[in-house]
Amino acid sequence: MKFAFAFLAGLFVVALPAAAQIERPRLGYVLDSRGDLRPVMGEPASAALGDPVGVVAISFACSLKLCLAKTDAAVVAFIPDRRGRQQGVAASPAFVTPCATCAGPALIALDDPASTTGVPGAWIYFQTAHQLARWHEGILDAIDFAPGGVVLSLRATTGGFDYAVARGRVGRKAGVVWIEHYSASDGRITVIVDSAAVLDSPGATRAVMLFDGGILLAARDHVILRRPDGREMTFPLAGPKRFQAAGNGYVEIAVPNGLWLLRTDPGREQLVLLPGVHE
Amino acid sequence: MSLFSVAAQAQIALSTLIGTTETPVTSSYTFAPIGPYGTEDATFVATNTGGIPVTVCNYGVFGIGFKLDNSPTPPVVLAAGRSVDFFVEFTGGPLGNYSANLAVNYVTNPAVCSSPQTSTPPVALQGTVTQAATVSVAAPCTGPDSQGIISFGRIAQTSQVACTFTLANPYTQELSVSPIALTGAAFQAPLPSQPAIPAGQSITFAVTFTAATATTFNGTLIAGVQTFYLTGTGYLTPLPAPVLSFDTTTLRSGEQHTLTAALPFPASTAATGTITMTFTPWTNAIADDATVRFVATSKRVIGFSVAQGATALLLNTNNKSLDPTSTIFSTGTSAGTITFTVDAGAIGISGSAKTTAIIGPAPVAVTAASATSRTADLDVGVTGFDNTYTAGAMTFTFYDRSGNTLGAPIQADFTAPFHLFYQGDTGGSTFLMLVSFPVLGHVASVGSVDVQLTNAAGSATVQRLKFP
Repeated sequence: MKFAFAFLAGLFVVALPAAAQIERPRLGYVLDSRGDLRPVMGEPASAALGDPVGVVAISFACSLKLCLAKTDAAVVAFIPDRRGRQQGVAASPAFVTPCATCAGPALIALDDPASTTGVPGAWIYFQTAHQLARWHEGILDAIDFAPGGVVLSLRATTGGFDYAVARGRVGRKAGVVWIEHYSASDGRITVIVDSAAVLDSPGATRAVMLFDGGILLAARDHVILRRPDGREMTFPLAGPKRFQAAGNGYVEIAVPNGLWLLRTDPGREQLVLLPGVHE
Repeated sequence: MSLFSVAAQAQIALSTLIGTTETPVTSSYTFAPIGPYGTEDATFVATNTGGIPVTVCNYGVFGIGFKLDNSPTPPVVLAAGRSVDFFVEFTGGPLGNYSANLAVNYVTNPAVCSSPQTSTPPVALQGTVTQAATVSVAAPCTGPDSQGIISFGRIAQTSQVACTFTLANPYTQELSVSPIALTGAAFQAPLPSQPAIPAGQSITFAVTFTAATATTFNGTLIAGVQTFYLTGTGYLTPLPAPVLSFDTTTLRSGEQHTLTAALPFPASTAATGTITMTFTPWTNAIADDATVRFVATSKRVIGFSVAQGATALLLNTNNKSLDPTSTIFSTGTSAGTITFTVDAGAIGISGSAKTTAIIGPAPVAVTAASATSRTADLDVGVTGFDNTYTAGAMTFTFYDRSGNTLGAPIQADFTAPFHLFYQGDTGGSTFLMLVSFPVLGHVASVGSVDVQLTNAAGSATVQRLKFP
């Protein structure tokens, strides 16, 4: 197919070919009820789950450039296929980093994919071992980090990461959640938001997720999306218990009997139910 | 062979059977009186009372107005002590008395029926045809048929139907019809208190059949010498056609909605069933859109139950859970018609079991777009869906960093690759389209691009998609 392409009239006129490459869009990945990581294809409200990619994970985070999954005793990284083709990655993951002492779930904060031309790095907080690590190209470097409390979420930032930490009573009535910043260069911690600012939504502490576009808070029967400028959106949803980064602009929300996907792009927010794994 | 010896060797004894009671028959048997051209049956039992087997060669019924009816075909071998039932019908005829003889002819083993036979002592059969009323019924009942059966037909459980019975006197003198009686609790009537019917006259009364449950009910009407057999069947009341509704009045592609269902009035009986979705595409470019479905199960069927007296259908009862998310369905990404069909199984549905929802054709829905630049290329990405499957015509308008148009808009037609992409696919119309524009010149001067996508339903435009 050829068509005339004229730019900067008077400076140059070029006739160049252009072709459209058309494929199924991949929204991201989710962890199904069996623990299989599966791609989510299509359009949110009519999404389809692809075949398991071959990674049985406990926790994960995905962006456009990297998926990092925490398995029983390793951190597995792979480069997402843009088209979400049903290829297994277990046989040829980009990196498998054994980690015998980091059992249990992990909080994962991937670096902004736009900040690097290579494989982005990530911050990982192993929740059982209360151990922070920096992951980069298959290497895990332990970092001394003791914020005092229960770390709920990490968000990578330039020069470090933000984290949400609950202190005091933790659980159904966690009373004090702070958002702080960790500086990678000198290990300094800075308070960004104190508890009052986080918890002005009653009961909104079942789960917390920091992400580029703000904060997600889980309450008993709804999810709150709070933007950096303080604007809030509420999505009715019974029993949200876990947030995970499904992909750019998408968050997986696990509830007791299903998986939901929240689109977080400003102006395009949408909460949809994901298909069961029967397909 | 002397008479004495025949009697001494007699091995077949006759008796009648009424219910489970056998009564020996000696020399005669009298049938109950019948009306003109009515019938009366009797069951006879031939028993081998001897110590060796006998072979019954035939049952002899000799006389007008009587006949053998539906009996085992001889020869019938009876071991010692065994018996065989056979049936004699008094068919009567015009008014009068009737008589006939009955005997059973047999041989003892090892003789065969071609050998000389022995007969049981003859039994005199007697019957009388007396005056009787002519019985008829009005619709919706039918009958009486040749068996004397009057049918009330099939009616819904717990409902009732009444039929008018007429007893007519065809004679020239008064006819007394006595007794007049009903049996069977399902059949009720105010029976005539005066059983006498004047000559040429008739009396009528209504018999009401009530089907308390979904089963067949039987009864009898005794009118003088005649007995009529009443029958009627109750069936489960079908569910009234459920009213299906959604959480919105207009359904569009790329949405999820919740299905609810209710009956317009309470269910007369508890019921279970299914609601099934089907999808008929607006275009023949695809055969189906598999993403039109109940999301939680990825299936197109959902179970329901409704309690007796309730109007709300409880959905997803197949999973033993009333999780409300199970009623969420996806509209897919294709224009067409979604049809929900309610199936209540054997109970059935009264009225239309189908509810349709139209997903109208719409311009291309753009859900995400990106613009990136490389050294000598500009890349434009568009994610969305085209529920008409007719996309392809596009216009790209580039702007410089100051917002001024760069040359004329570029027309492109990607119809063919879109057709190829959708061909044979039933996964919906979602697409990620990447278009690269090789550029000679300074790509950094290009600030943004408008992308207009056109399909059969109109145009959609992504405005001022910025290049980094």
